[in-house]
Amino acid sequence: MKSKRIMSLIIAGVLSATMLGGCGSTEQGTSDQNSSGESKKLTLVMSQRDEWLSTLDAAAKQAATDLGYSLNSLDSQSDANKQIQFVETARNNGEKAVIVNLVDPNTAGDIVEAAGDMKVVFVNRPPADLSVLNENVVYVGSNEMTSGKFQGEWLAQYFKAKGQTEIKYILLNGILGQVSTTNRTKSVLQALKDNGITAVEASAPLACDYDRAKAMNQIGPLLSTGTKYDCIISNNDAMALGAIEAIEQQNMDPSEKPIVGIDATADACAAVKSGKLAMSVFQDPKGQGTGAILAAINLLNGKAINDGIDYKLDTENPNIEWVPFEPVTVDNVDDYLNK
Amino acid sequence: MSNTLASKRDFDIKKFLSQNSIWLVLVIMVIGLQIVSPVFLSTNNLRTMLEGESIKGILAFGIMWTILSKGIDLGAGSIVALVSVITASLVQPIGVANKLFPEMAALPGWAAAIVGIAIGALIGAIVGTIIAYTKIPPFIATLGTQLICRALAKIYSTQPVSNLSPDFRIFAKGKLFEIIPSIVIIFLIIFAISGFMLTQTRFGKNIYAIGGNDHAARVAGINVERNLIKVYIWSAVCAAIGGVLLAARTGSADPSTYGLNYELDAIAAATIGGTSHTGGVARISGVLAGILVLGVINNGLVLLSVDDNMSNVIKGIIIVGAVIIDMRKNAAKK
Repeated sequence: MKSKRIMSLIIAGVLSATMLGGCGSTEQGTSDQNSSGESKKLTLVMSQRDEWLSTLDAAAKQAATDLGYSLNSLDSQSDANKQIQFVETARNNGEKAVIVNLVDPNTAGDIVEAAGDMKVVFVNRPPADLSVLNENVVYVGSNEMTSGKFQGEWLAQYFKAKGQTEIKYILLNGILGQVSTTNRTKSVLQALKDNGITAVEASAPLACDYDRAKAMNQIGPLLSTGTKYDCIISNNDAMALGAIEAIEQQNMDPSEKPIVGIDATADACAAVKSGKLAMSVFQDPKGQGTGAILAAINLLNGKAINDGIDYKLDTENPNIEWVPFEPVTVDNVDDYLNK
Repeated sequence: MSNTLASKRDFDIKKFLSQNSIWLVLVIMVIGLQIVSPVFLSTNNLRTMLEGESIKGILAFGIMWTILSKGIDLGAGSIVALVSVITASLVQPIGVANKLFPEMAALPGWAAAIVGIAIGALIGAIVGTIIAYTKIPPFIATLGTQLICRALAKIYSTQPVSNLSPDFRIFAKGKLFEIIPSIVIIFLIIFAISGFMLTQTRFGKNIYAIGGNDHAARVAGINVERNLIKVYIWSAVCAAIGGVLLAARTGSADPSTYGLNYELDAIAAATIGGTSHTGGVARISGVLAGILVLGVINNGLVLLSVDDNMSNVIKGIIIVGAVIIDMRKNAAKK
């Protein structure tokens, strides 16, 4: 009885060891074919894998394969400690470059330290302190200050065409304190002001954590109490779609007053097409994923980070590469529906 | 009493192999991994692995006590978040960016750590008292801690607290003999304290008795309530130490993501290590092995470029497998 138990344990141990080893050796087989002399392995450490980041992840893998590299993609599951550990392990494993989608932008300095001699490419989320960037540590992402700008410009044009220069808006905020939330809100309000629109809040700003259901719950009561507003500005599409849902539940027409979002998700593009969502702003996950891989390989080969791709470097800091945002309206939504 | 102890010791020797089966699994995994990836047993890699697992390991050395007493602690991860945010806010030097209290000078690192641990102890005392005297299931009481502490952390600071003073970060970044990271030393100290209390003190023996049969323990004259409170204080103190170390290691404290699901990994480590959820059975060496097994899996998947979803599949299989074996072991005993 006892020996049987021990046997089953040994089998379990062997099994799990071979599972680890087995999965690994297939990967290694392919990487061996690639590696002619030097290691052609890259590691991508994701903060988490939501829908958008998964698209980035997949594009990065594709880009690496196309360029003859094997990419090991790891999920930190929103754990900054685990992220540092992954970076150190990649270094211990003798890899030459690591691409990091930061869990906490404040840990960038420690990530660079953990990376040692490896080249580091931060993707999508910029380090809180940009002074960690140098010729071996770069950032590839989209400038959040321009996403809100597209919303603001579109709204300004819309209201000017109606001859209206004073508007009341409802603002759906993402996670308060996050750089993306702060910059998206700041830039949309700035763009309205710059384009001659006096915008005042129709309600207290609502913090809906980028969450569709939270936006629905928060905007519902505003509608039923008859709050007067001219437009709804949302930090992302999920919350904008939540607002549309809430408006429809009150038997009102969401296309009557413009609602603007950011991300151009598949659902949002469908809503733009049907006229329920006025516009969204496309943040390009494939562009960021591809751009980051290319930047890493360019760093390894001593080339400019945007070599071979059509993205511009920041005018002040050459270690930042911007992947542009693009406004999505009913006029060009068909281009994004299948993106 | 002495008679049962003697027979128990006899029992231990007989079952030595089956009791330490988790070590066997660990050794097999290490050998397998070393063959496939020779970098695995390098000093650097072992250090990386231990550094990374230390915080969750410390949590596991606390949580195993709650499981031993037939309870659970789901609040540990949120206590990590709350304590890390509070201690981090106390060690931001004046003039740094994003300072939470712009006017306040930074406390010395050790003082901030003590404040953090004291907050943990207070939370543990409150939860323990509620569990001991209202008799509500620990699952529910600590679910409450989880929600409340996470919310308190977010109320305390709406953004990550960063730019922490070097004399605070030394808790995680210091090195003994230039090689052993201080975070690993603290992990080993907590292991030793927990092991000592478990095997050498009346408190430890009381918890085995309470977990095994709380009525019998009460009849035997053990103050069940007071001991339970101590268990939850210890678990929360371990979580608080984890919070201090997490802030020191990353140099930042994010109220919304720090410590997220740490309690689940700690519970997994304790469970794999043979801590029985039916109460009354736990071995500190088993929990240590459980922590290392999870560490080897986490580390191995990176070295071998395994898809990381696979690691969760393996972890899941090992956890469930460990509990099945554990239950059969205990059933055989009865």
